[in-house]
Amino acid sequence: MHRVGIDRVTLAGAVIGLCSFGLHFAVLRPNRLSSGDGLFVWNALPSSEAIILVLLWLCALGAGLLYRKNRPFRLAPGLIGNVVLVLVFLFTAGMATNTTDPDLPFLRISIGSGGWIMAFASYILILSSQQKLADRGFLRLFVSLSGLTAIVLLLATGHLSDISVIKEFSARQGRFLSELSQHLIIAGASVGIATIIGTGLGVWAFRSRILERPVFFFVNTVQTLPSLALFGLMIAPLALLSQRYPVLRDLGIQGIGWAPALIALSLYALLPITRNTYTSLRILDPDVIEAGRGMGMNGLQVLWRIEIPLSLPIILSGIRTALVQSIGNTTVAALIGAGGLGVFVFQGLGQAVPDLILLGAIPVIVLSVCTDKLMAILIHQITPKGIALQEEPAS
Amino acid sequence: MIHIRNVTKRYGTSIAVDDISLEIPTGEICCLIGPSGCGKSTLVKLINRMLEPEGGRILIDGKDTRDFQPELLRRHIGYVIQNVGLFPHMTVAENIAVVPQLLSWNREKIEGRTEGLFRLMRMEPNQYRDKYPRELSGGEAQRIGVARALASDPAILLMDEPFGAVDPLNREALQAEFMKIQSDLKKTVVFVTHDLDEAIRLGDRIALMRAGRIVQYDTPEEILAHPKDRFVSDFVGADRALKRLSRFPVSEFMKEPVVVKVTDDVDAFLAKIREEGKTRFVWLLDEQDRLIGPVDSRHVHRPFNREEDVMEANCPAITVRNSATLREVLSRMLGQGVKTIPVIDDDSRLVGEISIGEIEKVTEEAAFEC
Repeated sequence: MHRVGIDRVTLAGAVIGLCSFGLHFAVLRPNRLSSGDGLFVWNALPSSEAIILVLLWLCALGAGLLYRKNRPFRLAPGLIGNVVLVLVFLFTAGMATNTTDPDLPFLRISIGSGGWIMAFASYILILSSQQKLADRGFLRLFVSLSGLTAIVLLLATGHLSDISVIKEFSARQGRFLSELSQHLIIAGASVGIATIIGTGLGVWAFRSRILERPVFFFVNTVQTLPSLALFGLMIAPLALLSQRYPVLRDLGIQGIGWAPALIALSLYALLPITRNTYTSLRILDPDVIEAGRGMGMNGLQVLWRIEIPLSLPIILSGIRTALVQSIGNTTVAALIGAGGLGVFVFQGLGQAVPDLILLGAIPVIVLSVCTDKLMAILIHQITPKGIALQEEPAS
Repeated sequence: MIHIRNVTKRYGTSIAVDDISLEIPTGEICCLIGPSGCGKSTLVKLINRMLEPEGGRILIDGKDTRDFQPELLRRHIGYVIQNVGLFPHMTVAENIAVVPQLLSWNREKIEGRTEGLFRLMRMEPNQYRDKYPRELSGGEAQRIGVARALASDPAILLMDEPFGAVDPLNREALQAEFMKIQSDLKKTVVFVTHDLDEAIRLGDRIALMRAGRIVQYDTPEEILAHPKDRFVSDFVGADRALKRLSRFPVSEFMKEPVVVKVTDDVDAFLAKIREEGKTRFVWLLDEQDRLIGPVDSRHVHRPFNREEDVMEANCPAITVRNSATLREVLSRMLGQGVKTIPVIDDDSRLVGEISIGEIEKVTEEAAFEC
């Protein structure tokens, strides 16, 4: 029954993981601003730790080459991936704690390109297991989250605090939290506004043959503008307005700051929401609506019992796209003084401090991924079973 | 009883329904038929006020439909459309329960009703209750569509080309089932179709429409026998005499057959027949009254030889079921080149015979003018 075969995903992860040994695992800098020296695994880590990493990747390679369709083999890549993911951070932190030099009090240890690629490769292993465990809810969840949970626990207990990027965080804890919340508020509010306007535009475009083209011309055009250009475009008219009407200035609406960012991001988020609302109405079967009316439902009952259950999943997946997109674009909004996690990215770029860039970039990635997953779960929950049936063969 | 009085409906400048008056008696099926765009669907939608007329009145059992709120009116009029329009996000049982829920029935009553409707449609409740419309075949979906329309036990059923999207084989099955159900329920049905054969088969009356007007409103037999004008006779076609035959079930026209059982003394029987000289052919039956085949009383071996004396070995080809119509009988006669055909029941027992003479009598009655 259990024929030996090649598992391509695991194999790819293992090959990338092994290749990462050829790049610098960690970077050692005399201080946070200097460029520093890269260290390979065997220079950076004690030999016992290096051997553990090599062995784990060889196991992954073996699991990829000798794949059998049974539970241990489905689980193995995911377990190895999670362990490696945690070890990359734990070993780097250990190295940072143990490397002390009285001559260099500001010594910094960061994860190097090899370390990041190894973490990425371990994620491929986790994905490989996730795919194979699609029918096993608990095991799948365990494989998906155990490594990340362990890292969060290690962070919280201070075990990783000697890694450079965490040191950057510790130095700016208050600022980080305020920029994070600013980021979330701007991204969330822009999608909120876009949801109200976008669903309206979508319904409008669907109802009126004449408006369909101009509405989509508008939202499509907005989407083709580079985000930076759109932010720039907002500055002049808003500056003019706030000069003309001091009330606006008192409210905080100026040429730069959160106001132009919010407007530009809302415009950006319009397309996916408008398009999905329009599509969801378009694909509603008119016979279903006619049957509903013919059976004696009033307008509100048709809306509530038929139109909303059938179109909500599609509209929500538009909002999902808009949210992920907005979280990313809000980073750029820091350039026009809107704040958010982009502040650290651009500070880091300006000061040439890679770890400061990461302090901004990593949370943005985590936020995007988590939002995407949460929305996916929400959409799955509210999609009526009768419709989900028709989508199943695709997934 | 549905009274449609001088009803007119316009779409912009074009008239869809032009001053139509029509009475549909309680318990009858009225088929609306006509070329596309003749206003037949519009007329149906005016009855349950999916559309509002520009002029005229529609009365149901003497009450003006305008006196009711449209939604409340529709909850008491069953409505079936061509593409079924089952709600894809609801199970089959939930679909059927929509109108009872709108009428705020309690749960036991709804469940009992759903159960009953499954049985009426000859569908196993446990097998279908929790399925979704996606999982049904076209025929099954339309059965559920009809069940859903019957859920609140309305006196009136509006059916807008209900079997139009189903394949011919399934359509005939659905029509037969619908007739069976209708013979029990005796709903007042307004049935839109573009299929003349369907109208002839189902309709107690046919209203033939053209350009928003009713050209002829009559029983199918009358429309086929006496088309009012050139349009009607063109519409019903040159083969209307044939089509008309499908209104007549063979069971009403067949005669008592002359039979002999294999357990009888076949020789003596045939000899007697021959002497009388009235009947030349007799039907030979087996012990269970099942038809073996025809026997010619003049050319029989002596002693009787079952292998050679039964004239037609391929008996099923020349027999018809007692559920058939005269049209099928005639077709079978022409196809097999025979003038008399035995009629059997579902258990293959001989119940009668019919010859071409009886069919001619039916067509003569109509006295076609061409």
